[in-house]
Amino acid sequence: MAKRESTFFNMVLALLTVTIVASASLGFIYELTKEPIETARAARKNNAIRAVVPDFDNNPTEEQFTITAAGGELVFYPAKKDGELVGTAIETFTNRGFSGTIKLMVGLLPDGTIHGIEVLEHKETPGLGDKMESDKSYFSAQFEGENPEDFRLRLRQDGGDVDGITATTISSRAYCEAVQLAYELYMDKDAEVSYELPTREKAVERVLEDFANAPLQEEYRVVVNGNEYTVFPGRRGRRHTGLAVDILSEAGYIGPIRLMVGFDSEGTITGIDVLRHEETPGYGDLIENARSDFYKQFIGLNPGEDNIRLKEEGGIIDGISGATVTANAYCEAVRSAWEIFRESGNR
Amino acid sequence: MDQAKNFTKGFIRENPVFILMLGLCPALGTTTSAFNGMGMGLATMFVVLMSNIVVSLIKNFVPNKVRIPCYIVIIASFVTIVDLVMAGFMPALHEQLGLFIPLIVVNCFVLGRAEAFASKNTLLSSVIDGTGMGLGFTLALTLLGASREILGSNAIFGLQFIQADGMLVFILAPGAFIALGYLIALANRLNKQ
Repeated sequence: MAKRESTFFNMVLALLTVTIVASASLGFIYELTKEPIETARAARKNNAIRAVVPDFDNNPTEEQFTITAAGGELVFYPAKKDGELVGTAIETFTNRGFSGTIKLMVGLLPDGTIHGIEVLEHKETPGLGDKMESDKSYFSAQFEGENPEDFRLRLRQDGGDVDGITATTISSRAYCEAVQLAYELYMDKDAEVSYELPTREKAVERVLEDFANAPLQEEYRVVVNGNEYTVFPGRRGRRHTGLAVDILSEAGYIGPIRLMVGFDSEGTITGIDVLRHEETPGYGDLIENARSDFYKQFIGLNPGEDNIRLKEEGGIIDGISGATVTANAYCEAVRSAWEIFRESGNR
Repeated sequence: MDQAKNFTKGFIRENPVFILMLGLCPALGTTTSAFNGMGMGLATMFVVLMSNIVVSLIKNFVPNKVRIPCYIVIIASFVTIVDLVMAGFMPALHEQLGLFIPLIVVNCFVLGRAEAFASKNTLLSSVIDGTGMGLGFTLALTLLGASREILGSNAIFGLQFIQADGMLVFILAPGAFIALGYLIALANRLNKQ
């Protein structure tokens, strides 16, 4: 048979035939593999449940329930023996992996102790991030038998009790975060776990310690070095009890970092919250209060007496590993906030 | 054409990765271990073989001007079939390679065989070409995966032979380029002899 000419009719005919045959065969294969794929998926989930909770005799997938939190859904699978709860397998997740979502199955005993953890799904780097899988390293074993009540689910360099995986800080952090989420929702099913940054209103309330007025309605401007800043005074009766300062540092790693810093009448820091930032997920965003305890070391310090700089800069603040620029900018913002506090005449 | 030569040309003489430099994206991306490289190679081999067969069969039916879209549809269908069958019947392997299987569609090596060989040759030659080139691709990926695994994780096919961290760079993207460069040099050396 000679090659067909490229006429309009021949071209349409060829494309039509090829696409019809292709879609028909794909449909056929899809139908054929649909059931095995479902079975394989269910088997994987059941195996994961079995691996993370003690022996049970019920069917946890039948009693499953879902809780919505942190922008997604967690599925709880209660495991029972002789009608008594022996553990709960929780399908939890985080979107902060090095390459996207990580799904874990976390098994908790009734008192919240971790019995086992299995990775259900991840896209981390093969050879590095995938070491969090239980058959590839002992990383997940260190969680077994620990109760997050006294075992802090953070990496050692972030002030926790978890040994991270070499060269896999982001994946390890994300893993801990997913476990923490499961634990918090297990202990309190209505817990509000959210990684959203606070509004200005909420931040003012959080950073001021002691006030009986409505600081938001009494906001005023303070001018320092020709720049205008917004402050919110806290009062109890006529006595000034503190001041919340809305401050921006341009020295962030990616963009500006906006903080709300609260002082008492002596200029001692009573609280800090991050209002806005654009720093790198997994590194710079550890300045957020919900993500690490970085902010806690500032509370009780007085920038008038204490050197609010990173230790490597001669100060007293522990930085965030991998996010020095961000931590520096944060310190700078806190120091500027104190300047504003001093100029506000609110002592 | 000498069919034996046709079969063996993919191993070294016209090795798709080392000599023709085709399909480098999956070659670099999937070869973090020998097992992954081999799995990806075999999956690609299946797609090359099947698309070679079909393209060779319909080469006279498809007019020249629309041949590329037709080949792509055929290749994409086989890739999806591999993906579905693997997910259904080999879930363990699919877990390892699932991410990379769809990438076979854009592997220019597969389209290259369809365009450069199967569309001009008989069915038998195309089957032999597809198998030979597919094996050559598998060989290249397995070698690359093995060398990266040996250097990067001190293991081969998952069997650890030194209990220590390897040279991490070989697991990461830069290591892929370094290892590939040396293997290309080696293949060219062998080719010259």
